[in-house]
Amino acid sequence: MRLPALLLLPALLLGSAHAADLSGVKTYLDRHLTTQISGAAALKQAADTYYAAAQKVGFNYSALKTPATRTALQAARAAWQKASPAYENIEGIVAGVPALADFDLNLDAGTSSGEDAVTFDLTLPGGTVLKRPGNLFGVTEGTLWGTVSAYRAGVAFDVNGNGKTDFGDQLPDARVLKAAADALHTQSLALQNAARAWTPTRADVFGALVGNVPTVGPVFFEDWKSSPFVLGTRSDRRDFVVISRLRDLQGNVASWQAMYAGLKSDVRARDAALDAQISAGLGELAAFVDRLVAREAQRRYTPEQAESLQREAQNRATVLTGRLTQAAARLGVNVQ
Amino acid sequence: MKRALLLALALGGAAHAADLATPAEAMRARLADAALEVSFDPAGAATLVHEARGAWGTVRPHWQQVAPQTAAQVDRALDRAAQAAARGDEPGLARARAGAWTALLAGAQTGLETAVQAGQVQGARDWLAAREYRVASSLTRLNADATAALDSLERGTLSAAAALSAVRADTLDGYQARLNDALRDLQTSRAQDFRTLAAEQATLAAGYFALLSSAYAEQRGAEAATTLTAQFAALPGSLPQVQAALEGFRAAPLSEREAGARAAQVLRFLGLVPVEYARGVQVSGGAAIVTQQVEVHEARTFLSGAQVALSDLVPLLPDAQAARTLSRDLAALGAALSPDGLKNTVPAPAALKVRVDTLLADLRAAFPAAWQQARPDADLDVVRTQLDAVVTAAQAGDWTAAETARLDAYALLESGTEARIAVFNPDLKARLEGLIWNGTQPRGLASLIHARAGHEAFSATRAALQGTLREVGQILGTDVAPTAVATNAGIIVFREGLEAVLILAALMGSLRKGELVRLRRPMWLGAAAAGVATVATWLVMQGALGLLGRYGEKLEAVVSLIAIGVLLLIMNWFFHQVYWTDRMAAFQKTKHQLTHGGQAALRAQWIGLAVLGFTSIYREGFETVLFLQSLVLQAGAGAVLLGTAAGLSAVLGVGALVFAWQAKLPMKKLLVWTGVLIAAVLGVMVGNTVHTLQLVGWLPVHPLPLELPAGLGLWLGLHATWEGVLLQLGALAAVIGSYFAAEGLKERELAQRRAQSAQA
Repeated sequence: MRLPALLLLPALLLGSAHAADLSGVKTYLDRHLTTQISGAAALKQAADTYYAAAQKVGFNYSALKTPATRTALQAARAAWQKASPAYENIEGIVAGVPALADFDLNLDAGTSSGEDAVTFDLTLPGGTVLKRPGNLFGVTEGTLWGTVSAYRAGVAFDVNGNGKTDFGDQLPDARVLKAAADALHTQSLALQNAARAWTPTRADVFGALVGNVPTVGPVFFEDWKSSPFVLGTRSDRRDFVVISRLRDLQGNVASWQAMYAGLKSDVRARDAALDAQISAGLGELAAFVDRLVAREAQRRYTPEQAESLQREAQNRATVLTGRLTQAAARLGVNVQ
Repeated sequence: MKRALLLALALGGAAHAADLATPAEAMRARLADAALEVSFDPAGAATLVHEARGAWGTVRPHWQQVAPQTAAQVDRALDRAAQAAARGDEPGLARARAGAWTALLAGAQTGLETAVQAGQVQGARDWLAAREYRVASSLTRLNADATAALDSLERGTLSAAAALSAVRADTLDGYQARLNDALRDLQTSRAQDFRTLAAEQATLAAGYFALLSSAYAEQRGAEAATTLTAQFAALPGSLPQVQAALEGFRAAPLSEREAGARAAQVLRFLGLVPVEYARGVQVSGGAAIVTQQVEVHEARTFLSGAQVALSDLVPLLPDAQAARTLSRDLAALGAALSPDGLKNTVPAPAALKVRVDTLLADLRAAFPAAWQQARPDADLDVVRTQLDAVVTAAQAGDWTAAETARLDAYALLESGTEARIAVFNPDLKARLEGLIWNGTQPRGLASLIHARAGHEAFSATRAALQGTLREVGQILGTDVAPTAVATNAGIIVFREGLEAVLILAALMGSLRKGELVRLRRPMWLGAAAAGVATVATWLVMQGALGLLGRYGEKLEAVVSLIAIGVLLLIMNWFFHQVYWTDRMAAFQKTKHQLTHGGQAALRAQWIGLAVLGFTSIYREGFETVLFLQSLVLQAGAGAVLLGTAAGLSAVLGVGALVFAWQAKLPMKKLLVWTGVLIAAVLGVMVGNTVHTLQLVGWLPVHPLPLELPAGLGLWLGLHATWEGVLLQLGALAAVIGSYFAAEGLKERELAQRRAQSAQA
């Protein structure tokens, strides 16, 4: 009876070492979720302050053009700009894992109709219901920067305090901002709970990688091509107008690197050259995006150049996806 | 000396891996970076070209050894790239980098094929890593066939020739996809006046064709290949000629299995188009109107899937004219169902069905017979889509649509998959059924739909199904060996027939005294009727496998309840009758009427025994026929018939043994052993029937605090729920109770008769 147990022990030890590698993915996820929740909590607080002020004046927004309003809205924007990139750093994991994917729909990827519609309606203080309003980061961005006209209060206001009327200088609808900020905070907490309960498997992580890496071209660069960061004022996008989609992509690539770190030892044990190629591929993709993020602050690309960039990005994503698919196959993991 | 030694080591190949892929990709990436920099910073672009040359230099000796011509082509292209960068020439640099890259790929392909032919697995892996894949997307997964072939070559389970064939199929498929992309993008770039992109794509197209030209020459002749090479060099002006010359050409042949899988997808997906469409379009006042956009979108999705699968098959169809017509007809159907098309005219569902049925008939006529064997692994794609539709419909609160999609998915699984996993993977079958019906951890979809559950619950079950279907896919992905199919069929027939044969043989064997013997006749008649019904079911099922798959469980539940009810009644009568007859024959030696109450009771017994004979066999006959039908569709009739014959012989042999053994037993022991057999079979029947009733939601599920292997359920009807175990114990109690009740009743009757005789 002791011999089978002795034989089992090395397998158990190897198994537990393997599990420890994938737990690094959870640690990475939790760290960024904590940042996201902190930002969402601050956004909620600022939205509550703004709502209270609006309630006090009976939602007569013309009476809200005060320094206190400016402080609250600047705090709300700063909080959003803390929460959103934190989420982008983990989006690749959340979107790619079946147990967590619905959170991505509701937080960042979902639309207001069709197959990718969000699963919630937004109930505003006062009882008005916004049916399937779209993802929560999108709704809060659209409200804070006035890119969605339905979420504006209709009153111009110098939010950034530079004495000029710039992009986004207007007062948001306090009810929409409060409801969306509350929902964003609640969903973020729920995601953290779900993420802590999740036990990642190799199939989860490989599946998330081969499902998400190919979105570089058709999703991130496609959005970026039509954003103000390429088209300037000719862009009619209402989302990804505050933070460049490429910065989102930077975050996603970082999450893919964190995910692969959990698989690395298994892949290296099976095929060291393939592991080196995958690591190099991730590094190449990260460097490509980093370079572009630095460049877009200094130059505008022509539509043809943006098209070329998109193709090159997709080429790099394809190289990486191909190598990840082969690695999964060599480890006997089915990613279909 | 040192460099020569390093070179020798690097070129040794056999013992150590050489990383050819990273420097190759570095070359490509630096050239791409240079192309993106050249309009802003020509000097910076020139530096990047220099870095590209440096990366190439580290691996050049490998290319020089296997394909010196391509190494020289790369060198020349890099020279042109450096010159173009220096003068800030965007289109020139684009052409040069495309030329350098495709020449590098051509050399890598030569190295790969040489290594595979020589059986040098590690060397082949090194070259394979430097390949280019078709463009990845989140919808279409890249495959790992070449990697798998090299693994098999290493293990010795694949010959070098077969490995080479698999490797070429995988890599050339990727290059053909890239060629098609380049030609399509060239058209788009010209329309948008993107000159730099157009220059790059024209050169890429020519380079990819160079990789495919030997295959083209094999299929179309060397002269045609030479002509086409010249036309590629003349792009973009020669684009129409290039496209015409490539029509019907496929460099990488699909295996029979892959062709069959794609053919199954075409037929299955297209067949679902009118089904989905009919759910989203209603006819009102003679005009068709779209009522559910999501269903019409599903129809378009299935049509698109059929078109993609057909596009891979078109070059392989024997009748080229038919192939062109089919592609054109599918495209026309797509245009009619497009959002723009529907703005003009909304076809009535009936008219669409006629159109699709015609297309399906044309496709079946055009596809070779070998492609039309049933492939349950291809069905899994459709099952996954149907399960997604369940979740979407539930999200939208459309519970009717959710239930319909759930039944559609289950019907597909029932009519294809379950036959393959029922016998050898009972745990998997049990898990799959639970997730789709009324399982508890996580809750099954039927239960969730009934309870109008929230989104999180549906997502949890869908995620669990994803994993289970992945396991099923791995099993289905294996080839169907005739022996495995015959064994599957034999065990299914033996298992499902065993209960019926045991009951009938036990009863018939014990009805052996005098007048009782004629009571065997109604059981024979009932069994014969069940046989006819089973054959009729087989014939009906051939045309409606999927449809009947939806109702299999409920039909089995109803028939099983009838069988158990009749068996309990018959058993009660049996104990009373046989015991009384035995005691009366021994005590008074007079014939006695078998019945109390005359002709009406006799007729009731006759009917009861006939019903028992029928239901015992037919309760399992329906599902058995479903399983056997699906095995025939997957693997042909021969193996299934052989297995069925073996299973039938075995189960009839068991029945004959039981019958013969009971003929020799003394009456008292006969009674006891018959009772034991019936009790055992009744217990199994009750356990399996309770499981089916729970599956379809007609009985609640309260799990036991322990898990049982699914094999116990398969063979003994033992499932880990309170309802199942308690009802099985109840059934055994009924048998024992019947025996003692009969004994007690007869003792009282005998005492009365003795008293009457004494008085007389």
